[in-house]
Amino acid sequence: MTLVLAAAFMMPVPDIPILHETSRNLFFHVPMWFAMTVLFAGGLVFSIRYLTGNDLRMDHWAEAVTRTGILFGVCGLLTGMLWARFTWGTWWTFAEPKMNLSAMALMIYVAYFILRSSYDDPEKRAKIAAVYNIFAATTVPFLIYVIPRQLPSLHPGADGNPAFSDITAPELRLVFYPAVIGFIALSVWIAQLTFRLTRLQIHMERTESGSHD
Amino acid sequence: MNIILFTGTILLAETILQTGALLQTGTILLVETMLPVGAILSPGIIQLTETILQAGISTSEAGSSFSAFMYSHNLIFVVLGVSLIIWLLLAVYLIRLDKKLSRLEKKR
Repeated sequence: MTLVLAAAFMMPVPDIPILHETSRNLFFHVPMWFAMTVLFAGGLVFSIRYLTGNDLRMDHWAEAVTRTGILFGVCGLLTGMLWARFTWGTWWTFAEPKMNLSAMALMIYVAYFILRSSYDDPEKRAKIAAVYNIFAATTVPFLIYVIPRQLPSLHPGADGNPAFSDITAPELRLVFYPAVIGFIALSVWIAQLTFRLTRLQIHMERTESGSHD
Repeated sequence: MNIILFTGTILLAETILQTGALLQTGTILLVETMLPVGAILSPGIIQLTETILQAGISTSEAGSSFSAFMYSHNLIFVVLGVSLIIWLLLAVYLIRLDKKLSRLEKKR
């Protein structure tokens, strides 16, 4: 990651009109969405595994990866807003479908945690949350990848614009792909920390309630 | 070739320059860059770009020192801002995890 960060700031980039040096944001902004997608896909897998095996560990994994996925999604949204402000001229526009649908996808996932907090029984909470997580995960490809590509958008690959692969200079890819791998690895590590903390909290609560009985 | 991405601004750019609207630095740069490029545009892109630029114009802060700072040095400070947002958010999240862990350790 250190090498990726150093290269992201120090490597010479082609001078693209309007974007100028901000083409370097490709190494930061885009990997956020890749990491988020991988984590949400993980949430889908853990939710299915919970429903098939009734193992609460899977529910805790689903919760941890989803929580971390939202963190990376928020990073993607905020970095995108800053980038948009100085290249498109506005922090936010309701005319840009990818921007709005990504925010909508994140809101769907925020509702996952609201749903979780409304149940006290762990088994019931896990079951309802798993079902909801499966629904939420199925919306992500459509909201972030499919629908924005069908509508006019300033993002690459959308209707009227060349695809990402057509506009990315080869030298940018040398840093972009390692950045994607690095940020995904970082996100998985953070999700794992979150999972371990959740397990520890539950273990401590059980130990405490056991000692009180 | 990357210019194709923003060709939707040409028609709007011409209109804006004709009407002499007060624009922020970024929009002026964008307009100046796009004008020499001739292209056939899809109606959707034109409409979208108009909306986006209108929003940009309405939120423009003429003479804002923050904007001037961010636009300086070929927008490199935007990249710095983007990376700082990421690291700050991740750092805050990790510090919160660490605090929760410390609380658990104290309980023990």
